[in-house]
Amino acid sequence: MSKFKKDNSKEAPAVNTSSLPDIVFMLLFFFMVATTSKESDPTVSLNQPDGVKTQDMTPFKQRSEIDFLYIGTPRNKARIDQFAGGYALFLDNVAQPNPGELYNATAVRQWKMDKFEAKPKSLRVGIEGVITCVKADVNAPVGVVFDIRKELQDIEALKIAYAVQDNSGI
Amino acid sequence: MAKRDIPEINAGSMADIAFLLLIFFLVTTTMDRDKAYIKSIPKKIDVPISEPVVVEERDILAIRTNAQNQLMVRGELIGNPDDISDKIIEFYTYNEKANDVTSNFPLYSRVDKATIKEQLRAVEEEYDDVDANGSGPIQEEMLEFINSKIKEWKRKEKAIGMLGTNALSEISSQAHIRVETQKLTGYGLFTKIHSEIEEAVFKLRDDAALRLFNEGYGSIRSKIDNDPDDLVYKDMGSLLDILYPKRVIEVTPK
Repeated sequence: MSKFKKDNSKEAPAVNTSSLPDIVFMLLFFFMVATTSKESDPTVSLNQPDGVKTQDMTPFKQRSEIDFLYIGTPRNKARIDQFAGGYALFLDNVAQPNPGELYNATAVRQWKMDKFEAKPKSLRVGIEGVITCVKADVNAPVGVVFDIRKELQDIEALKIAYAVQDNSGI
Repeated sequence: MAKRDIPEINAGSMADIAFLLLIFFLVTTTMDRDKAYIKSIPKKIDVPISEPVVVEERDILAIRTNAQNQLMVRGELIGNPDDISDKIIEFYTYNEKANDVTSNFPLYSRVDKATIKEQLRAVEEEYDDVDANGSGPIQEEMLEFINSKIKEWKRKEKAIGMLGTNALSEISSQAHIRVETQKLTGYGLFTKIHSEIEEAVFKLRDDAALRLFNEGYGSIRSKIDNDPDDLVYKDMGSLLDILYPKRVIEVTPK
């Protein structure tokens, strides 16, 4: 006769899951604090160069005082031949890029103006206060960057930023 | 009336809701921060410049690259782009202690307290003169120009006060770094040059900051960013700015 009688008739009690939402909320808050929202996914792929002693763009992103543009090879391989040197320009938040004009440096001017107008008046800081951040592939030709600079100079958006990968601060 | 128990709300699906939110945030956000070098583009001027300003060769540090991504610093071919920062540091420090007129590096000028006071008084008098001579668009532009000069001298006055020495040695006001690229130069090399410039200037300022204030330049910078109203750190930053100014010209390729 054993003292510990096995009681097979009784099922294992259910695990209490009432604190599961708390755990998930904690995770949620962590991600909300530690990440920043993505701009639109670019249709060009690029491999960013490395650099040190850079400036963090996060504060400008939070105040939406920064516009991103990308120079890389088109993800749609069939399109590569359409662009000189195989590099295309992608403008952030342009929903339907028309390859004829939008992948051209001259489109930058219209894009900047549109983005500026789209902002509510109370949040505007003046077009000269909005940084234009260029994210380009390591091998992208610098000539495109200078074409963009010229367009920006014409509309007096005089702040430009060259994006790089900086792993020294982490 | 009899008291009724309020039925308990079933919270079993709360976790599902939280998961849904969590997944939404996971998808729409990124962990990596955007890092970049902010540069300002010079303002467009409509008036054609009849005579180009002559800059002494010693005041120019030209970094040239071509379409084959070859590098040249001050006329010398460089194989490893990591060496650019050493060249920049040499450019800044060669004449820092004592001027060597025979060298091909920018000269330093030394201004003492009395000169700064005198200059400050002179520009302030100039300001009053122009101000008294009526108003108009030209006068306003003049006033703005003189105002910037006054600010400059006031900054120097403050800087010399912080240094605690009698004279402030300054690199030639025309000394600058010139980045010359060609249209087909790779973006990677272009940003590498900027990276090297930032690294060199940071190192120079960091050394000076450690010597003068016993604090690294990085920590001074972050304190200025965190609290722009903190005058002590702002003055430190402005002094280091005067000692090692970052003047970079990017030449548009033809």
